Amino acid sequence: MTLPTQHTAPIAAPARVGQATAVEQSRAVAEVQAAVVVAQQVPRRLDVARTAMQESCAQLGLADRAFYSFPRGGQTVAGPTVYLARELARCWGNVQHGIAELRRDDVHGESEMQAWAWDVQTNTRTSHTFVVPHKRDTKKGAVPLVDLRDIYENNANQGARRLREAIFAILPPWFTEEAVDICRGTLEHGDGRPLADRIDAAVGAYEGLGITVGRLEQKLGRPRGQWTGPDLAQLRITHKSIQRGELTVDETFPQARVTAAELVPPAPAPHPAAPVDDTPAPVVEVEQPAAEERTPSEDTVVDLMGALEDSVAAAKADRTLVAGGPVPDLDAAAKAGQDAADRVTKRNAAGQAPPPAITARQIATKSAALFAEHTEVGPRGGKSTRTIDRLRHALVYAVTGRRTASASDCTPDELLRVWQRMDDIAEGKLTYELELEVGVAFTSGTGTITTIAWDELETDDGGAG
Amino acid sequence: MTAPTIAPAKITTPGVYRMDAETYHADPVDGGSLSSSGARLLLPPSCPAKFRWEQDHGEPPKAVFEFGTAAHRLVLGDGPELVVIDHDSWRTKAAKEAADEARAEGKVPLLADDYLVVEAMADAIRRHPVAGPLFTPGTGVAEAALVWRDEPTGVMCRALVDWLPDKVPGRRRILVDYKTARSGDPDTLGRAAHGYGYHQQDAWYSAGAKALGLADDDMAFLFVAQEKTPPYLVTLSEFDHEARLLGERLNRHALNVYCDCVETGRWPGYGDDQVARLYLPPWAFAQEGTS
Repeated sequence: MTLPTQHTAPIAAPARVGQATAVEQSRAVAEVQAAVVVAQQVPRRLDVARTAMQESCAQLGLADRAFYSFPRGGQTVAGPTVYLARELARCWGNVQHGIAELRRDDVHGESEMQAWAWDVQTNTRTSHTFVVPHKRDTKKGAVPLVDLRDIYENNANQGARRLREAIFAILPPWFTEEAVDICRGTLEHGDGRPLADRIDAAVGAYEGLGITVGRLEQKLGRPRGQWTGPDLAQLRITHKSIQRGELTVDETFPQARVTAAELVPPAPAPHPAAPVDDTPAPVVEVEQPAAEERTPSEDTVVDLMGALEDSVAAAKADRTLVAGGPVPDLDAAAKAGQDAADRVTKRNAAGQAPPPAITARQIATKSAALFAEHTEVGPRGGKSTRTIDRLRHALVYAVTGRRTASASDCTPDELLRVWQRMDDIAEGKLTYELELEVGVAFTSGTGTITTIAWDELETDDGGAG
Repeated sequence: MTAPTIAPAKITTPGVYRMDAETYHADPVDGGSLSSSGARLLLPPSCPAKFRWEQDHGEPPKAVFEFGTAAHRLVLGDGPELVVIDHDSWRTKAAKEAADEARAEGKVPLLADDYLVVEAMADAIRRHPVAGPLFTPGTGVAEAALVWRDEPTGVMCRALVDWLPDKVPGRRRILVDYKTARSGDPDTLGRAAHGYGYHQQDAWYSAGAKALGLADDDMAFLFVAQEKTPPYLVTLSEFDHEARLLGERLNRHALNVYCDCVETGRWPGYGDDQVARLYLPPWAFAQEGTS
């Protein structure tokens, strides 16, 4: 192979060296020689270096800046930072390191740079020479950097990463690993306050970033009460990384999981004229043998036609929502109501299993257990009644439509239905919201609400409704 | 929420629109737009060439899709009109002709047996303690088309949200997608979701909702999957954080590929002009020792 003819000197050198340059050149040579000689004369003592490292890493100020984390390819890359590297180099001693911009090319938009670390005692040296394009990655692709400050910061950033690697390359791995462990321990220990206080502080710090406790809990996989020192250490590292812009909140913290409760649309506001708007679906006694046998008060609408009308009304509301849009299918809404009615007929035809005999006493016992948390006693009509009893009466009223609301007046069929509604409450299919002074609102799984004001009830233990 | 407006002949501005599925799939956006399924077609195991073909020629009707459309129609109360074809199967000429006639009128043909199944499915949804109330008529908008511009690339994007529940004060926005499935078992659903790229759909639709200001970052995307066999079980599910992030990255990649293809006018196939290398799956070698 023929070598190309060399036209230029392999190393570009200025044609003339000025006096100051000559002095600096000599000084550089002398400095390097002196460093090596001094390092041999005053070699590092491992125990001293190690103690210095241990002391440094025990400081929260350093530990806080000791780790970085950023996302890459669906994973979070984490490791010790250049701050820790520089500090370890200082503790280790007889180490020189630096970053140099060797050449800047504005035409091609790049800088040639070098990062190096040198253990002058053992003469172990690592250097990386690399080209930094004057560009920044964005979602649109690489964008050229023009501003001098942007170029400087980009160079410094790229240089610091290479420097970090260069320093860690000359330090013994055991030294670095011990330092990392101590830093983690420092973060776990925090500022020495009790764990609960530090958890509060962490939650407060994250609130400042708009991150709720729920998202923190989901990230750590544990409820707040079970967080540990290492969890807090991780939160500290992540917090710093977010502050430095290495991580974004959304890629770091999952959103809270969807719960069934937030999927159920809120029921429409209760009708002012009728305290009982509708009966909750489980209470819309689809099993009722014959509605005409009972004589519900007009207030307790247990009426499938009502449901049908609601569906149509809802569909009409939908039409106003989609102003200018196609007219929603009113037939579909009507059909939904009709389907519900059909299901009732079918179920009635199929026949229900004969109800087990349930007594009023059993209802009272079960309701006492079910509503046991409501120990409050409220005034009514000059007399105090227990909330437990009121809730039971409200339930009986919702099922029977009788304002006396006494379980002992109920037919076996009604008792069974009250029993089933209590089962629904126990299983969460039927929920209720209690206003101690006013009444109770039952919400069914389909979102229908039945509100019952205490005043409506005429019970043995209360006054007139 | 911004009330959806009826779609003009050609959409030029981002927004929420009401339109039928046919209009949506035919791309109503002036200058062209990318849908979530389009984005998935651009990436492996598909390729831009297949995407282009489907853009130019449309997707042939498939009975399985029509079944899904019918289920959407009954569950969401919105969609094309259903036509019950009173035949046992599609094999007879009369059945095929009746189906073609229905399709020509923009309706969805459905065998009588299938119609009964779809009705039973809709009924099961209504009885579901959470999905039933969720789809209550009047509490949301069915088939809302989102049209928005992807900021980084400038590409117009579109998405058809099955069910957009009205915003409830104090609650976050939730987008709902209804799917019919062979199995509602979450493990099986997860695998199927990977195959169909549902995580990309999640990220795509969420990006649209956020871009249009319908939702904040805390929004959720819910899949309501229903089995096609009795007892027509319903599974409510959502992706985990990592799956959504993967979806976002894949969508970003797809948008970049789309930009490149539009700019260059080239829609490459699988390996383009290169000779691809074939590799056997690892178990092929494991089998050698046992035979």
